[in-house]
Amino acid sequence: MGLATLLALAGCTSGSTPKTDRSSTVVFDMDQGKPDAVTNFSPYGGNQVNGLIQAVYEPLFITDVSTGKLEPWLADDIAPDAANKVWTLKLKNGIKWSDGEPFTADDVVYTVDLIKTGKILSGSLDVKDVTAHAVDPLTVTLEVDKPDPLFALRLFSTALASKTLVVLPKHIWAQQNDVATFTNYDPKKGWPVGTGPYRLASVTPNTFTYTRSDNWWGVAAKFQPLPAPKKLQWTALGTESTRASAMASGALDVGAQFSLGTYQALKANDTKIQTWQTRPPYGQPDVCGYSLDFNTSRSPWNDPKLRWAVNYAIDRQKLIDVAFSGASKPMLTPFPDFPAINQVTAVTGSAEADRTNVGTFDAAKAKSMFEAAGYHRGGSGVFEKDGKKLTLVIKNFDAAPKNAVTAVLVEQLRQIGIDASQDKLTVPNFVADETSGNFQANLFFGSCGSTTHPWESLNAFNVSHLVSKGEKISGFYANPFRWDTDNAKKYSGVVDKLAQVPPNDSTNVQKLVMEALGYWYQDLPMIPLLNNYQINPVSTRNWTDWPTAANPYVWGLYVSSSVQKLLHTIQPAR
Amino acid sequence: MSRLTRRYVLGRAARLVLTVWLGLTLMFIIPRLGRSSPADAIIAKLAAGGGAADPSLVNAYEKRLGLHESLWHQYLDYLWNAIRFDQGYSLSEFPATVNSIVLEALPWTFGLVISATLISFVMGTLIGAIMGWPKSPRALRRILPITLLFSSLPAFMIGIVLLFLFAQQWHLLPFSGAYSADVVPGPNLPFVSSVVSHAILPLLSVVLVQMGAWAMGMRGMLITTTSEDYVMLAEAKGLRPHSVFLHYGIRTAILPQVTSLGLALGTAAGGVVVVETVFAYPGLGNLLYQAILANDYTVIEGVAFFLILGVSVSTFLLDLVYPFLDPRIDMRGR
Repeated sequence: MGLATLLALAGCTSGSTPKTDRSSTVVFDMDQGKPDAVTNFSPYGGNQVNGLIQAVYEPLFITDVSTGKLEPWLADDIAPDAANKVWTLKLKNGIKWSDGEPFTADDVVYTVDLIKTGKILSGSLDVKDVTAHAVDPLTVTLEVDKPDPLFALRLFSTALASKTLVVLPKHIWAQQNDVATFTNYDPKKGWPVGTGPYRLASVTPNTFTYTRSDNWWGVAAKFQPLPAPKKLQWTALGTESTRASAMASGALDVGAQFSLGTYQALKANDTKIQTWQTRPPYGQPDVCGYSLDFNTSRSPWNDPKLRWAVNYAIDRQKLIDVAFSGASKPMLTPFPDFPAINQVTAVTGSAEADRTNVGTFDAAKAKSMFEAAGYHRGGSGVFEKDGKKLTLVIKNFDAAPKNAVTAVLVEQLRQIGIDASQDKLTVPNFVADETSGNFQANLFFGSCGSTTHPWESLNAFNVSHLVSKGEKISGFYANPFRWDTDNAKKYSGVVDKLAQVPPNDSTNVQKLVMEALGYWYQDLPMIPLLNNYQINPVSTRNWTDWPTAANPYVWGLYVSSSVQKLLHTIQPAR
Repeated sequence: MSRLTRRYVLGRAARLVLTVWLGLTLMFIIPRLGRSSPADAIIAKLAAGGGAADPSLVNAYEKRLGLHESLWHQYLDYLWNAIRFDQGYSLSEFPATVNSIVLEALPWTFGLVISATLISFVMGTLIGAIMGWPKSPRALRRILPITLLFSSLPAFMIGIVLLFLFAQQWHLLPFSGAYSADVVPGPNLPFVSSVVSHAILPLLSVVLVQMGAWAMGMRGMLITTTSEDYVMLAEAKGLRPHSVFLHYGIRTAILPQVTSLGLALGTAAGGVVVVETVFAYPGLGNLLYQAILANDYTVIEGVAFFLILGVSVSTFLLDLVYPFLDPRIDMRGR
C-alpha cells in the first residue's frame, strides 16, 4: 500500500519535474563512477575530470596525439632558448576569467609557484626545478635547472588527464588562508572561476551541471565561436549495467570505460552507439597496456635467461582470444599503441622486437632454456632445481580485465612447467607491494606514460629511480622492476641522453631509442604482452561529430582538457 | 518511568557507552590490519593520471592528516574526535571533512532504510499475521505467499531487473541517483517528486526482499500464540474473532517482531550497501563501499561510528520501551 502511494505520488507529480532538453545538453559518464566530495572543486582535486578541466578550466595548449604537436589554446606559443633552459610562453590577448578579471602571466607564475610548495596534490606535474617569471602581462619565462628539450611536453600535454598545467586565478587563490584546504566552491561567489565557456550551475550528489557562458572571452577575442551545447552534465549512474541501460535509452551521451561485452551488446541493439574504431579492438589505445613486470632483484627471476624463457612460453594471441575475445593486439615494446610513438617505434622498436623474436611463442624453446638453466621436470611436471620448485606468483590489482589476463597467463605458464599462481589484491595493497618491491612479478604496465614521445616509458626503467632495499619507490612508474644491472646502467645513460634531444630531431630520437631498446631486450625486465584499448562509447542519437580513429581531431579520452576542442566541434543531431 | 528503575536505565546506558567504545576501538584496529597505508591510496590516486607521487608530498599529506603520529596517539585523537563528533578530513577526498561527507549521505540512507524497513515490516507483519491466523480467508492464505517469492533473491538482482523494466524499457522511473539535476533542492513539489521517483526502485528492491522474513517470523509466532491457553480462553469467553486476533494474537506475536525492528533499523544501513551501489544512491552504504576501496580510514571510521551509534542507541531505546509494550516485563521488582 505504501509502495502504491509512492508510485502514485511519483506518477502524479512527474509532470512537474523539469526534463532535460537533450538537444542542448550533453551528458557525460563520470569516469570514476562517483564524484569526489561534492564541495571539492579544485581543478587539481578529485573532481578534476568531472567537468572542471573539460569545461571550466582551459589548457594552455591541446596535444594533437596523432602528431605529438602542441596546438595553441590559452597560449599562442612556447619556445626554448638555444640552451633549452629558458622557455618563453606567450599568452593570447583578451582572455578573461569568468568573473571578468583578466587572465595574465601573473596567474601562470602563481600557479607554478603554488605547485612547487606542495600545498596542492598534483603528483603528475613536476615543477620543482622550474622558476617562473612574468615578463609582461602576456609573457612568462620558465627557467629549468638544467637543459630540458622535453619541458613543454611534460608540462603542457593534454594527452592524459592530470599531466597538464591548469592555470589558477591568482586573484582568488592567493586570498585564501590555507590553499591546501581551499575547496574552490561557493555558488554565491560564482566559484569555481575558470576561463572556459562553461560555469558550474548546480551540484547534486550524482550530477554536476555546467551551463554555457555566453560572454566567454573567446568570442570577443575572435578565437572560437561559442560551442553548440548549452548545458553539460557529468553524472554518476552506478554500475556498468546501469550506465549501459542509460546509454541504450538515450539518457547518456558518453560512456566511460565499458567492457567489450557490454559495448557489443549495446551496439547490437542500437546503431547510434559508436566508439573510436568500427572494428575490434573498438576502443582507442590506452596509455597503459598489459605486461608481466618482474622484480629483477629477486632470485630466481633476476636471471634474464629465465625471463626470456617465460617470454617464449607465452602465447599472446591466445591471451587476446581468451581474455578479450580477440579484441586487442600483441605488444612487443615497452610503448603503448599511440600514433606519434608508433612513428618512432615503427622503425626502432619493431626492428628490435623482430630481431629478438620477442613476440614468438615457442614452448619447446622455453623448456630447453629452463633446462639449460639447470631446471628439470619433477614428478608433478613442475620444473625443479636443487629440490626447489620453480614458482612464480603474479600479482594484479582486482579489476576484471587484469584478472582475466592474469588467469590465462598463469594457465599458460603452468602448462610449460612453472608453478605459477595469481594473487589478486586491492589497489592500495597492490601499490604497497609494487612500490616496496614485495613481489615476484606483477601483471601491470610499469612503463606506462608515453603518449607522444618515447622518453617517458623508457624513463620508467631508469636506474636514477632506484632506492635502497626495503625502501619504497616514489610511484608506480619509478623503476618498479628494480632493474640495476650493467645493461640497466648503460640503458639509463642512453635514456638520459634522449632527454636532451629536441623532440623534432627524429633521427637522433630514433637512434637513441634503438640503442636503449638494445640493452632493454637483452635483460627484458618486463615482458610486454598486449595493448589495452579503452572503450568509451558515444551516442549519436542527440549529438554528432564525435572524434573517431577516422577523424581524430582529439583523442577519444573524455577525461582530458582536450575535450574543450571537442565541445567546439560536436553538433546537435538533426 | 513507572515500569523502569534508575538502576535499570543506568545499566543500559553504561552498556550503550561500552558497546560504542568497543565498536569504535574495533573500527580503529581493523583498517590498520591491512598491509597498505593511506599513502598507498594517495599514490594510487595520483598515478591513476599517469604520474608519480613525490615522497615529500605524500609525507606532507600524511603529516597534515596526523598519520605520522604513533598508533596510541592516533587512537586517543580518534576517540576524542568521536566524542566531539569531529572525524577530521577524509583521506581520499581531502580537503572535504568526514562529517560533511557523512552528513551529506546520512539523510539518504536514513530515508531509504527507514522507509524500506518500516514498509517491509508493516506489509510483512500483516501478511504473516493473515497467513498464520487459522480463521483468515483461505483464498488470502493461498495468494499471499506469492508475494514472498522475492525474498530468496538478492536485493541487487531485483534492482537490476527493476531498472531494466521501469527505467530502460518503460521510461517510467529514473536510473539512479537521489534526485534530478534539473530541480532545486528545497521544499518544493518538483524536488519532492524527484526524490520520491528516484527512491522507488531502490526502495522496492529492499522491500521485496525484506518483506518475506517479517512475514515468516510473524506467521510462526502467531501459530504458536494461537495454541496458547489464554487465546483459547478468550475464544471460549465468546470474544469476537477480530478482537481475539488483534488483542490476544497480534499483540503477543508482534513483540519479537518489534525487537527485530529496532535492531533492523540500526543495522539496515549496512544491508543496503549493494543496493545503493547499483542505483548510485548517495547514501552511507555506497559511501562505505567507496571508502573501503580507497582505503579511506577516516571515512570508514566515520561511517562505522554512525552505524555503531545507530545500533546501540536503537537497542538502548528498545530496552526502555519494551517494558511498556509487554506488561509481563516490569523492572520495579528487580
